[in-house]
Amino acid sequence: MTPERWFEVKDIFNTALDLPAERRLSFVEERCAGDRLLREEVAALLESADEAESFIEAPALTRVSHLVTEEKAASYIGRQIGAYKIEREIGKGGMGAVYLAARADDEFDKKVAVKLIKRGFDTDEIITRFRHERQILAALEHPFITRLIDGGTTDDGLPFLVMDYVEGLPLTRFCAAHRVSLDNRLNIFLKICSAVTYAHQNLIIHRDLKPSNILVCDDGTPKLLDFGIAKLTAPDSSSTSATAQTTFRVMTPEYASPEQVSGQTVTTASDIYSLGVVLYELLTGQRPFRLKTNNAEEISRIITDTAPTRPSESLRKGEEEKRRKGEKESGKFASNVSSSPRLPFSSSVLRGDLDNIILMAMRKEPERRYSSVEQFAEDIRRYLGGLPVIAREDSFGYRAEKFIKRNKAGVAAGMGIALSLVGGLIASSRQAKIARRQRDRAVRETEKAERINQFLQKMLSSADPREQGKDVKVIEVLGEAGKAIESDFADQPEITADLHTSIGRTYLNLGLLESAETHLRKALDTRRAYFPQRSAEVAVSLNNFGKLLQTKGDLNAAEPLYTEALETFRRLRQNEEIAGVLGNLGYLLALKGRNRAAINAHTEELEIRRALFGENHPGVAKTLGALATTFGMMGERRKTESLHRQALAILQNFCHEGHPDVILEMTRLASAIIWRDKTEAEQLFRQSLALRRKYLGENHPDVAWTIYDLAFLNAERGDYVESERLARKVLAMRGTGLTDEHPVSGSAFLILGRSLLAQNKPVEARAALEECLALRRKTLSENHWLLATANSFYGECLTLLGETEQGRRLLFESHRVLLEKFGARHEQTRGALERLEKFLALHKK
Amino acid sequence: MSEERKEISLILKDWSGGKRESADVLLSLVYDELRKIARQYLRKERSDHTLQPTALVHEAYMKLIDISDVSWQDRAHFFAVASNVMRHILVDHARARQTEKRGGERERIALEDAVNLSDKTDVDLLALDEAMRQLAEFDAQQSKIVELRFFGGLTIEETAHVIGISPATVKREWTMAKAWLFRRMKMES
Repeated sequence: MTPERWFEVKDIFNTALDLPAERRLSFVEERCAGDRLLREEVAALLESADEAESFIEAPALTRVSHLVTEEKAASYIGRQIGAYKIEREIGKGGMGAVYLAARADDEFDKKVAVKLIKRGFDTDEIITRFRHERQILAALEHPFITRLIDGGTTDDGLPFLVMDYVEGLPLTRFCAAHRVSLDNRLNIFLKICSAVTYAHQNLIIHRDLKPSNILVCDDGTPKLLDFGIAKLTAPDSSSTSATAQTTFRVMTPEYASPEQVSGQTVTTASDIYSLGVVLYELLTGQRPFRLKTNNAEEISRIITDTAPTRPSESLRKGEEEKRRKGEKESGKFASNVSSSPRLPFSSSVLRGDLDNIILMAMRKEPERRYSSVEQFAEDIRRYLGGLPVIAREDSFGYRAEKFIKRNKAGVAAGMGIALSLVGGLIASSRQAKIARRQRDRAVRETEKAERINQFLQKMLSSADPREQGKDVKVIEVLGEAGKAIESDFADQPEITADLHTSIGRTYLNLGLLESAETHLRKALDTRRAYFPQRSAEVAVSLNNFGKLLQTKGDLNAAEPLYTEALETFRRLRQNEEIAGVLGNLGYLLALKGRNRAAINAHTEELEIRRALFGENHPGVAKTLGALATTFGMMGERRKTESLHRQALAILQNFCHEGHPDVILEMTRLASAIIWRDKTEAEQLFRQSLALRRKYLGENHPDVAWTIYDLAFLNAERGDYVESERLARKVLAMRGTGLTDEHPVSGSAFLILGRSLLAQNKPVEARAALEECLALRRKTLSENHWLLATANSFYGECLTLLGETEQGRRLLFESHRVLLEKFGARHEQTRGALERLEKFLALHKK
Repeated sequence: MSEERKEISLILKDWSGGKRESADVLLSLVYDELRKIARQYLRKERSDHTLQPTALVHEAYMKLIDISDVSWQDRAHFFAVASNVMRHILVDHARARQTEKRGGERERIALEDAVNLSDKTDVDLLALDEAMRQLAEFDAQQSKIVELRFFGGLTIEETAHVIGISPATVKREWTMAKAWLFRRMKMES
């Protein structure tokens, strides 16, 4: 284009623009007479002028905000925050930004996400909320919740969080991009439910569940993010209407429950509602309410008063709309029609059960929704399994009740007749009878949940340090709760059993077996009295009580309980529960030396877990680890090693480096390869030692165990000077981090004695071995293999000191115990046999 | 501050007097000031990140220049300079962002969705800058008008003052420049 030519174009263009639109083209035609190129240029510009009407009308300066915030963000890039080097920004929200970072000193180059408050947004309110999120996340450890790894304050005083880095897409986008099938959508959703259930069990309400807070990884694993406005379910003295206001501002109205938008008490039922909206969108591609306004009152009115369109109806309309649009546009831009995502299923599959399930979760009244996320999930599982679901359309009785309420006395009589008629009809239909029973059950569940909720809140508030003026321990709260159950729920066996179960399990996890037994037994007895013998409720209690007996060491009593629980769960086809019992049973069988049976149990457990969660899951890793240990007992060294390696790889992929399970698996792998590759074993031990020191501190018992492992390794290698030094190092830790009776002391004394023996110092060795035996006798039963191992060395020591008869007896006896326990191929048995043969060879002459 | 304001007034005088090398000093001063002010705006208005562009430039102007000491001619120069500065800042920034984006597209999409970034409809500044360069080859004035209007945030009237033509002409030229740039960018993409 030359300036001269442009001038011509400009002249015609300007004149044409001044004309009414319909006359422009003929004018251009006339003025350009014969000059086709000129005519085309002007015509094209005129057309663009219309399209470009709003183009660059808003000045670029409106984007200065971006410039400034990103400039600030850019200044963090390359900087180190805590132990993490910031690589780049991966996202930002209203008040903060998220960066991709790597540990500055990390040899594995593990990626993390670092969340930081934006400069200028560091108000007290936001910083408090940020700290709160950190507390909440620290309390949660679940495969489908992004994990908190670290946190702290930057040099310039801003708090930061370090979390697992999740490479994934938001839920709805993931499903659209991969055209995920209906069943798989539901399966992903079930995983999300399990994460929310877990949070609820930890008394945490998320309060802002929505697709963008749920990222889905390539393998379909969802990860829950952003507990920024989560709340403890314990009543909060500061939760005034001001907090509700804040909440309203912060959360996303499209997914908020009626009680949230109207500023009423938020409970776990609010998360159920939001999950319902998420499922609605996941299955229809649309949100139940289209909020076009920013007006809080208007939004609140829509959400509290409007009934959502049935999901199937909503999807059908959406399909129709798309079809119409497609037809309309097909003439013009045929290629563009397919760009809007179509769901890989049709509205008809939603009609009925799925409609009812979603709408039950989204009911306006919290107490009429599912009583728990678990119940919601269970109903979806029922749908997937082709079983009748609990969710019904709003029952006739309920609607009738509402009608009566609205119309008061006048209609009461007439309605009564109508109801009895309808009632008679319903009673005649078996199908309906089932439906009614299930509805009754749902109502009962709801009441139950509500009462349990109230009880827990009462207990937690009594444990509120502010009220008592001192720090109250979990154990005290449990004690109080345990005492209050009977008096508060005298006539409510179902609730008593639930509460006894929760409290009993907590005691069991804390290792307080006596209290655990009291509560778990009460739970089991109550459920046996109240539920059918073959119900899931009884089975859960059997499994819990079995676990308790097993922990106490009463293996024979535990086994039949597991077997019974297993039968029930198999009959009910509750796969996750089946896997749970199989895990316990496998462990028990291994303890009893029935390795084959143990392996069968763990193998089935593994298959179930893989089917439920996929390969890359900590539960799968745990099962692989259990299998490995069992194979180890059988002397199957290669298999043991390969299983430990698989388990470790999954855990390392899944958890951050300092996670106890990762380190434990690392040391197990190291122990499993000592026999063939001491160099790699040593590397692994040293690595886990460094990690444990870093995350647990210098004096933690696990640090002592790893030093012990290194001592053992050196003894196996024949470097007894080093093994002696390391054993003494462990023993020197007693009094700082170790109690005197800690089992690691016994093991360290054993290695010390063994090292001294090998260095031909039997007198000193004897003292060490006697310490070991004294410790082990105190804590172990007479025939325990750990005592046998110690006795084998003690026997050798005694023969060297001339106490031949006593020594010989111990050498024979210990070998017998180990042979019985492990069989001939096991390392422990082989070691004992070696010492016995050495003695026999010496004394033959 | 007053020292700085004096300094800028002097530079402006130099500049309108033909000393072009002072433009660089001016650019950097304006650059810093604009950023500073924008940041203050952000801190004040948490919920609404949209700035009033002319207010921003005016504020920068008031802070930088002692009004009593400069003629309208100088102010026009200031606006011209500020617009040019903004063009540089924003285009360079867009370029930097594009480089940063490479390789990180996937996470960006994921998280953009998560926080509802609203800049999806943004103009591709790099393409615009390039199109403006082409336009300037046969119509430098139209290109300048776009710079003042879009990057400087000036109104039709202000632009008319700065360039010294009638507002009606600015309006016509602006419409045509937009049409041409729009079409050009559409063809390029």
